[in-house]
Amino acid sequence: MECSEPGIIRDEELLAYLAGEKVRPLVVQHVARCHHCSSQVAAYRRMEHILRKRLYRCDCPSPHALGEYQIGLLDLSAAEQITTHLEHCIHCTRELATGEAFLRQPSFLIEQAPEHVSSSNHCQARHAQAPISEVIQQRVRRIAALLLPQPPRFAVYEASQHISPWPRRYEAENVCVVLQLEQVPGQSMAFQLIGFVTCDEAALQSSQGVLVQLFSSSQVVYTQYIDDLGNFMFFPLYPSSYKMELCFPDKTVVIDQLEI
Amino acid sequence: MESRDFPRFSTERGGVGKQENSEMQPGQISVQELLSRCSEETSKFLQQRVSDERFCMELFRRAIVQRDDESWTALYQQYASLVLTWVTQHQGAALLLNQEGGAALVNAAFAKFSQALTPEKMDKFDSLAALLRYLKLCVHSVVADELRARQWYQYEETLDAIEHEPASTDPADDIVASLSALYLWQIIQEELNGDGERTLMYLAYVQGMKPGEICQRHRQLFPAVDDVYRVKRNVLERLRRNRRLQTLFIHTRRSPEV
Repeated sequence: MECSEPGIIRDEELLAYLAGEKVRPLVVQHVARCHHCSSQVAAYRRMEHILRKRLYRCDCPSPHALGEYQIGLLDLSAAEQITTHLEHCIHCTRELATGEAFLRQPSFLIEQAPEHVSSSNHCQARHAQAPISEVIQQRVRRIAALLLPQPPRFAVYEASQHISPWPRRYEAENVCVVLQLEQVPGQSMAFQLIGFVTCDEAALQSSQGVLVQLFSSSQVVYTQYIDDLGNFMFFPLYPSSYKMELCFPDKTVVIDQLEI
Repeated sequence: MESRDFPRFSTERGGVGKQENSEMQPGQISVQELLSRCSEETSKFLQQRVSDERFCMELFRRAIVQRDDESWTALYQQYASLVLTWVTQHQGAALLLNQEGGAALVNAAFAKFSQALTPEKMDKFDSLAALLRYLKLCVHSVVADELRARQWYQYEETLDAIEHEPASTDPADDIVASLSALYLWQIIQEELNGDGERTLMYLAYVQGMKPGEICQRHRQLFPAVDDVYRVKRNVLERLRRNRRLQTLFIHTRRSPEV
């Protein structure tokens, strides 16, 4: 059996058609009417699926091996193999990144831990965690943040609107924290608390990675870290009385009586 | 093993870290007492009070090194809720949680932990923080395993649709498939000429990349996407003529000879 119109389309075009790429309309028409070419497409499709099914990620280490590699549990030769593999495998590189991000995320157990003081530069250092006893010994200063009065507003606005206590602005030494509370759409009792932190004479990124803890009256603790833009967010929060602590390397800024 | 992300419970027994009942030796008390002390110390830790990790560590030691079932049950009781929290935190778990719920993944994570953490390996863990980090790693492993399996299953389903065959449920098929993959790859490599063909076949079938992506990543080998199709077509034709591979392309299932 031969092609009914030899030379009218190229074999590469059959593969492009098979891959779902945009091809000349003539290719589609020809495949529809040429038995030889439609059989060819079917054969290629079958081969492609078999090869992909058998070979897809056949040389990838297991996610667990990748994880052990990541935390340094593998022996040298196994670790080297994975390093080499990661040089060309996009899937494992992605999985490794996901795993890293996941392990970095604070968990309930570690959320409570104060941060290790690793630098004396105010608002400069990312923190490493340390034993509680060590931190206690270091006696990090705790500073209560002052709630600043809201800036004056236009009288007409005040007369016609309910005055919201948000956003709130707090200051503690050279740290300024602005908090905004917003209701979660569609959930009357759930809120998100957005924070913005600046330190005098320091770039926004300088407080990146600082641990922010939110303690509820029922002893639940939520943890976030300040991002590179100086922001953090707690979501969802439910009405309660909270206390917030921002754990800078040389001091802990405390915002007490945060009523939500 | 040093763990930077997890804090460590205090193991101090003097000065600031001095414990009440410090005369109680973890190695000499029952599993139930251990569980109770582990739970107590964890609560202290959560309240940012000085705590003692030895009781939780001993529970892990008995479960892993001694393979003691009662200790294993106690461990599960103590940490299942924490593991569930981790499962819900995992960005890849959302889809799985909708379909299977968290309990299955929690159990799978504990099973993975038990399987992967051999008594010999236990020596590498010098703190509770390191052990918990490993348990958390097992959560990631089971989620990633499941996501990979689903991806693979998609290819399986597509092939079944082409062949009108029901999907195999025989786990032996997976072993055959995995064994034959390396052999198949070896045969294919024997048929390939030059870097272009090797790169193309690896990226297209092992990495699952589309022709456009391959062309984009290797412009020097494939200046245009048509070049990818051309090389691919040549290779596929050559593979089709390969005697050893003909069996595979005719009978895709249960083909240990490949």
